[in-house]
Amino acid sequence: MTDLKDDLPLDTRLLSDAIIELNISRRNVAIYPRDHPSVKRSLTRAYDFLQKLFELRNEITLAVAKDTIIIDDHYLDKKNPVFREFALHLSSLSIAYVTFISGLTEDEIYAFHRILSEKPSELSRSVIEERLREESVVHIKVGFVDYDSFVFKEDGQEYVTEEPGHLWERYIYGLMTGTLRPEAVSDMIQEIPPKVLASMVSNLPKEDMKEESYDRVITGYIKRSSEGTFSGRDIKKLMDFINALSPELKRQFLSATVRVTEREIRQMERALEGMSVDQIIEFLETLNENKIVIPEALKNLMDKFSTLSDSGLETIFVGDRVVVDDFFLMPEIKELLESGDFSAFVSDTYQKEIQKLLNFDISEHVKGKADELLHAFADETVDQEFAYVIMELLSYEGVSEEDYDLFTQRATEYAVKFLEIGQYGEVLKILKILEANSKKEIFPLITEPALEYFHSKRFIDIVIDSVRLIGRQFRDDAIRLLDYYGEAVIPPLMDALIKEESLGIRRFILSLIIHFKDKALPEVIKRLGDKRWYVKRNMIYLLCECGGQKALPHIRQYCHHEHTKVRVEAVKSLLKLGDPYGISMVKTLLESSSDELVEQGIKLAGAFRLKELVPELIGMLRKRGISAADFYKKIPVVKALGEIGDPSVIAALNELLSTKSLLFRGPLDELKLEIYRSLNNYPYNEDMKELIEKGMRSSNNEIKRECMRLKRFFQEETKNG
Amino acid sequence: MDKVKAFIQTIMSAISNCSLYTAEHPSVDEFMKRAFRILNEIIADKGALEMMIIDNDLVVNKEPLKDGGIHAVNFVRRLRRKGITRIDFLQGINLSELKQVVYAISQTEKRLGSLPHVKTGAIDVRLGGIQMEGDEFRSELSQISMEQVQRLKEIYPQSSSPFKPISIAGIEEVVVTFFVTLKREANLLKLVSPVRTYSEYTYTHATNVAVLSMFQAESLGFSDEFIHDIGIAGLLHDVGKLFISKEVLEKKGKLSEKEFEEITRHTLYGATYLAKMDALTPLAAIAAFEHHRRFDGHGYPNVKTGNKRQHICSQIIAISDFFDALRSRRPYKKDWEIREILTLMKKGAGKEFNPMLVKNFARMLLIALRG
Repeated sequence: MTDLKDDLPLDTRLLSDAIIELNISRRNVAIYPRDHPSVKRSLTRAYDFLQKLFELRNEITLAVAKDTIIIDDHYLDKKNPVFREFALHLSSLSIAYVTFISGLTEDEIYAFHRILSEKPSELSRSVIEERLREESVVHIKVGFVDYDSFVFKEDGQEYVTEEPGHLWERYIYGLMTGTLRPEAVSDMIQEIPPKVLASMVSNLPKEDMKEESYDRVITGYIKRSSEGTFSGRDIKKLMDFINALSPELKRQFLSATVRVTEREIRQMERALEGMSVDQIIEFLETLNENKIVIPEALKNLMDKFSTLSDSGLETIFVGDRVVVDDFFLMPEIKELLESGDFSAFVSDTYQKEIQKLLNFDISEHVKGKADELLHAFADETVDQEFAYVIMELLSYEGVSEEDYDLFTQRATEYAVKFLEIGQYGEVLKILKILEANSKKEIFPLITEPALEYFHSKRFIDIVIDSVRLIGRQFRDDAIRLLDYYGEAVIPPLMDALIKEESLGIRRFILSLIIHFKDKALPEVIKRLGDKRWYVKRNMIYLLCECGGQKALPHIRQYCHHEHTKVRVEAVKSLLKLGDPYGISMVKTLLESSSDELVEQGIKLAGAFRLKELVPELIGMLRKRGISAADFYKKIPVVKALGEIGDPSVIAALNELLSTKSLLFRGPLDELKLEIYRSLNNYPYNEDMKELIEKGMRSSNNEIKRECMRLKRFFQEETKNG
Repeated sequence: MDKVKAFIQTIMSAISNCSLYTAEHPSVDEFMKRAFRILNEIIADKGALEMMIIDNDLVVNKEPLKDGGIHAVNFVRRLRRKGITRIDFLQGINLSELKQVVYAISQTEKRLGSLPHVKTGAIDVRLGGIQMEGDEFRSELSQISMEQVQRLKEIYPQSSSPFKPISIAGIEEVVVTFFVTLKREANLLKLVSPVRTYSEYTYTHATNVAVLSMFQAESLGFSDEFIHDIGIAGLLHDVGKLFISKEVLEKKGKLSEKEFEEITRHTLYGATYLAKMDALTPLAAIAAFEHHRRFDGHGYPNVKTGNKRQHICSQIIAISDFFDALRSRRPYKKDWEIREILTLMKKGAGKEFNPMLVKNFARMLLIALRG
């Protein structure tokens, strides 16, 4: 008995109503509580329709192919938005089919909807199954997509990218017909191209072809949905099929076509609307050629559609301007369109010029712009353009709240993406639009949380991470974005600076912090207390760069710091700021017992050209050398003095140049060469001339060459005044 | 799934930077290392990272990825473009292999093949029954027919309910048929369908603009993929008109400024409608928004975030749109009418239209007129 009942076809209308009511109740359940009248009413209606269907079948299975519902082997109307929405909802949860079983209760429908309206991201297959069990939903069975059925054709075979939607349909078709298996390949008859089908039919034994066979093929071919509607496209396809048949079969099929189409004259009318005049005439001609009698109703209908209509083709004006479709035309065109006198409008010369375009070679133009054109289609460029459209839409006053919400989310996503590729200008645009909208109080419940996100630590961290990685390349834009945030970015910039291992990036981050000048000071002073020496050193540097004279009291206290680099940085900072205390601190360094501190002191004296320390440096030069190392130690002193260029040093240098050593000739020669290399900044006086002449007489060729260079250099300097 | 999303976001950052700058750029290296770290965490947890694309959805380790955001959308788009609908990252993958993947995906012309620990390929569903080769199913088309216009009519959103989402699969299917036709027909004018009735204008115009734009794109030497995207953008460039009242849209004679202003809003309506569809090429929303912005930026809609040059796709569509709009409004087709339109376009070169594209379009038309 059950088997017989299950063979009955489902009532299409009833089925459609049931799905519509199911979808309405699904929506209501998602919004209102169980006892809300809308929920109660819609559940009862869905339940009633399903009960009626259970009178025909014990089980009703709705299969879901992405955005389409399939029942038995019929697609429900793909264009119906309710079916589509219901299908998309189920497929978003990876549900391949739902079976409603006789005995179903309203409570089960409610529980089913309730479960499916939970947050999709939390609804995995196992969660849905578990929840259905918990709620004792026994008369609704849910089947999930089995992703193992999607076979992997590995690289090496030629890829044929499936048209979107196609895979799902094939999967569900196979699922419903039980033919889903990995080894064979199939497709649906409707997908067979006309010519292939014609060849298959022509090859069938003639005794198998009866009148019903023709009708069946034709009906099957043009019947595209459970409602049995067919379109102009189907008729055209059918004609292609018939035209490809052998002449004897052609007539049989044409007769059958007329029979089938006459039976469904209203659908035929709709189908003809979609065919061109030429196609209808061609169809009529084929029928006539094959001596097919066309019933009167069908003939009238075809006559109606084989005449051309030209309504709606008149010129439209907005004020004095001519509008064609949605274009404004140039004023002179109005006259032309009215007169239709083309030659009066365009001179012969102009026409000849246009004719010349026949020889226009686009490839020549494109060649030079290949990169530009390629760039125009790069995902990043297209994304940038798309984001621009989103921004425009966000600024457009007519946007709905729902769209505004979506576009704000998109803008947020794009902002992150733009940060990842260093397009800071785009991020700034998004921020400014949201700010402007905030001021105008446009959808504040959406705008304000979005702005909060853009000012959150999470987002600012992304900004800093991006600036760290790519900021150097887009320095100006990066600074503009950081300026927008102001002081808020200083602490994370400091954190990034402290964590950074790359010297180049550290320097860049320092330069960004310095850009904030005294706005950065409070954070810098706060971090001076950090125990790590390198943090202190960087903060002293920043104090100096950002604070200027104001920073001096903070810096001075670090001139005696236990860590050499901290101490030296402090002294260096004082010197940069012109603090005399710095000079005395360099002197302290020069007098230190630590070679490292002395060396740093010498460097600072030279770098800052501290004339005040020349006597100390000369003293170091005159110190007797008793080892090779002693001579080498004088080289930095010579260099530092060279930077200062004080004439009082020349005598000491002369003394060194006159020194001779048998034991340390090599180191001494190196020192002498370094002396000559360091003379550029000294005055070109008699003492200097004598020094150079002395070098010219040296047996050391390098020294001779250096002296010749010096001679030329000073002569040039003298000449230039 | 959070780790998977983080992996996709990071690898897409590496890909974007690789595509914009160089493979050696420090940012690429940094993002790659981050992606590698996350990938190894996923592999340690799941044994492998298997990703497949069904329709436009990304399924990761047999679970669909939900709310993947623009990074996931772009990742899917990039892989599809390479013909890849399945990519598996296996245990033992090294940084060098991941770098090869990133580099191949970032380069338009570069093919991404399988590597020892990265398997790439396509997915298929195999069914029992009649055995047929895929190519036999592809219908043979020699010209853009009313059938295609009708097909578009079926899938295009209707003005009676314009808010429902368009069938992207349907639109893509239509464009694929244009593509086949385009490759076979060298005469531009043979591809253009006549407008039979006013009610049909929307669909015929959309079809014609798509085909004319694809034709232009092909002559510019664009890749098939871009030609396809331009076709989609062309097909949908005026979709915003479905949101405008019929009374205004079909009004004859004189339109008030306010009424025309309403018509100009179709660019905003269209862009709003299309920008919401993740699976659609972003070029569709871009072209819908700016196809009337003109080459010199003096068109509509008025922009608020700074004037920007039209994208080349919008420039191409603007030319097709203008040509077909003028051509379709003149019921009697004679050669001089096409020359007349050509003259108008030439006059608008540099102002309304990109001069190079006008020249190219004119050349194509003149060749077509010569037959």
